[in-house]
Amino acid sequence: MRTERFTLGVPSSKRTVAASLVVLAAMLVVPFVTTPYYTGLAMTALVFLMLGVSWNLLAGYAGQISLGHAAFFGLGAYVAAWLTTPAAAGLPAIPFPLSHPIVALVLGGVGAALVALVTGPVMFRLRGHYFAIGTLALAAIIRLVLTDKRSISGGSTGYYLNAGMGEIPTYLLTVVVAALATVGVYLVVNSRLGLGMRAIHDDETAASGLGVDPLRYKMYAFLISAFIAGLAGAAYALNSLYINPTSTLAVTWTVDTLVIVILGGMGTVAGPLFGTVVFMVIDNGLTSVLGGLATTVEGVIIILVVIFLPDGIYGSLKSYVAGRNESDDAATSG
Amino acid sequence: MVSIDLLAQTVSNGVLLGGIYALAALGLSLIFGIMDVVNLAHGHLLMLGGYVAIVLFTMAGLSPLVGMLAAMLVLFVIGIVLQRALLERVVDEGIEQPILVLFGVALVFQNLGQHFLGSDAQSTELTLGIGGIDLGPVLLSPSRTVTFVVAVLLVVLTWLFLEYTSTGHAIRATSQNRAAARYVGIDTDRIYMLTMGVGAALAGAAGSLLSMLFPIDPYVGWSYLLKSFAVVVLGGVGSIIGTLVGGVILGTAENVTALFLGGSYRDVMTFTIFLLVLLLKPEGLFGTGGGGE
Amino acid sequence: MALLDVTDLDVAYGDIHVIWDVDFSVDAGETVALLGANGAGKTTILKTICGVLSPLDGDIVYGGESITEIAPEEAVRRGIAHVPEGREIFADSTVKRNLELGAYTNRGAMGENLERVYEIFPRLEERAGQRAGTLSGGEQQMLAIGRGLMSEPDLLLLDEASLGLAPVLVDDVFEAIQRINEQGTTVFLVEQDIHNALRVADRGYVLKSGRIELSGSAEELAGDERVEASYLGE
Repeated sequence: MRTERFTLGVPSSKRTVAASLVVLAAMLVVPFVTTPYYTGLAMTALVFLMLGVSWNLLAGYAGQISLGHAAFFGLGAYVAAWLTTPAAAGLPAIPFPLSHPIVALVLGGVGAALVALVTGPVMFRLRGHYFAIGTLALAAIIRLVLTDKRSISGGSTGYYLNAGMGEIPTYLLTVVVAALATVGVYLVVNSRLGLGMRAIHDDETAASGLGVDPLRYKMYAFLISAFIAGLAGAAYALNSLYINPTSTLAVTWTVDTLVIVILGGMGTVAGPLFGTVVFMVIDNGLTSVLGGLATTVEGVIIILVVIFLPDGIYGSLKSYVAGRNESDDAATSG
Repeated sequence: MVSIDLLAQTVSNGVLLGGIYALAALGLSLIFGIMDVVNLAHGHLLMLGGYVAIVLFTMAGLSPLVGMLAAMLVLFVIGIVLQRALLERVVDEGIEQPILVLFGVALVFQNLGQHFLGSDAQSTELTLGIGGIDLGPVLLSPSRTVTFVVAVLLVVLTWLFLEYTSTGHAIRATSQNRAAARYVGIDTDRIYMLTMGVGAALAGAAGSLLSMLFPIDPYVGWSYLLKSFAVVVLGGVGSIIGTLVGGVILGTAENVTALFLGGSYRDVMTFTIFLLVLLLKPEGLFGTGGGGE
Repeated sequence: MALLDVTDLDVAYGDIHVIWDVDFSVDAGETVALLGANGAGKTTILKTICGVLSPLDGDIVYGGESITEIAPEEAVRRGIAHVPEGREIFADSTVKRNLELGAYTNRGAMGENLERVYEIFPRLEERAGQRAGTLSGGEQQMLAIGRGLMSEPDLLLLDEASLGLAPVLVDDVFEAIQRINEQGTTVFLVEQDIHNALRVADRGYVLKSGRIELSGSAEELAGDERVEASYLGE
């Protein structure tokens, strides 16, 4: 059952590749053919897509439920801020290639991955519920410390970036990075590496019996996941040009990420894509209709989808279509 | 330099606070021990309990101690409803589903609290005709003393219930072996419901007691979840004495940290202790629960 | 009228159909054995009777009332005690607490029933204060049977009571089963050990691949070569 679920997201036909290219092209022309408002929405969607892709790799494929993903997002944002605008943190001037927004964006991901590298071996001594709560605690510690260290984080007043790349180039850069992240994760989950991750997800004990070292695969998933979440945070910072510990490290980022992946379908490549689109529609629609109660509806969506559509919208759609074909076959043959 | 008197006062306040932490943790421990689910909404249930007391206090002028009883009743019902409506469907479905469902529940409670009760912190006040207990260098304030006593009393009552009633025995039997419990005629679905109800009621009681000492706002849930879980981890799952000692250790460590490093490091210390114990001694200082499970 | 009457029973695990059109009955006061090789479906039938599994089809009538869709805890209340395979004791509780939990649905006569169990299994009285998890395999089996008796059942369902026990203990267990039956409890036992089972049973049924293959009195079955044969090959 479980293994079937994972194959659902694999684009097997040329049609899927073509469709992906069309979507990519459409995303690239958004700022030239629509208003800044829609470009802003598309930008937000790209940030969420990266977060979703990132969390999906760790939770959906490797089976490690992290509730502290906001930490990597926030760290990526701050690394980009420190590199492009060191003066605001009282840091000395950063030499050219490092201070360039594109480099800062990549280093935002690297910074988050480094934190994952250091904390991973410790966090993965925890399993299941303990890992989930451990990541929640880790993220809380990072947020509290950064909030307290006003000199480097700007505290609650916040941190203004002076990246000077312009809105449209930042957007285009984000499109490219998000596409690379999605394709990258697709390649990972269909490689031996991805196979190992799924093996520890399904049954860690059995996997290690077969010679799969669980820690190694969890670490790969954690590092790649943190890297992409860091990229998302850096892109967010470079675009909004203003961050503070709450706006980048708060649990809401984790929440939205979970909603996206769960809605779309955990453990499928297409899940986060579907989830992001549906989430953007719901989020914007909900906020305008419900105002302050949008989070409640998000919570209810998580609950209902987990209970009634455990494979997510994409997964369920896929099984529905498959099931219908099957019954059609049965009807014609019977 | 911090004076010895101030340190002694800080420690004694920490010990008294620890009693409430133990009460909050007991509910979490009970649910974890029996259903093998970490109630991610536990801190938010505690927050709701605090608000029940706050609303009754500000609207009706009811003493928060009476409010606490009302909070326990309300939370007991909420716990049962949560189990019946949601958890029952996912509790045996591995770990991902319960984690995610409870995470969703926590979000709903937080957002509803924020929307209907406002984001401002509120509190209750315990008015008693008694003064504090003066122990020379240390003064035990009436509200801290009373909340501690009530909290420990509730912990002891829960222990008596588990130890000396047949329903208590059935709960413990279910936590040891659910299949066997069904074979001897225990309705384990009912036991799960009861456990969720009692666990939530204990969280509610802790929330009401905390509202007499600290302001409560809709965002305190995560922090109290982590604190409660830290105590469970310190004391070990299923050990009542361990839970009490764990609560006292945490309360003291927090207060002493705040004294030396400043209030903003209170929670940093809590979560650090939590992570350290989880990593170094996952079975807890007293119990048999396992972080590796 | 039979105490337990099972007709046309069909049971499946998901899509896998394991029990087919099974009919049998147990009269009050009898000891009846259900024999069959490993995997024949014996445990499935017991679990269906006591409500852990629901049948696809068929009727289970106990004491004149249908218990086809009963919950396990309700079955205990009606007087059916199931001693499961693999013992399933409360390992962290004392022996005495395990027995007391057996009387969960029938606490009234706890003292008497405890005495009766101690009389049948004196070893349990000696070990009353010990943690059940520290008992030997044979003692755990006695505890599981004793715990089943604590509800004062009219019908005792025993699943592989002798499995994995040393020969001396096997004799003890079968002797205990005989005494339990003599004291008025109807016994339905599932066994791989044909010889011992037919020694204590009045009648028996032989299950093969989910269907009843043979039935008869214990003497008839003991002398029937087909019983042994049903254990070998499909």
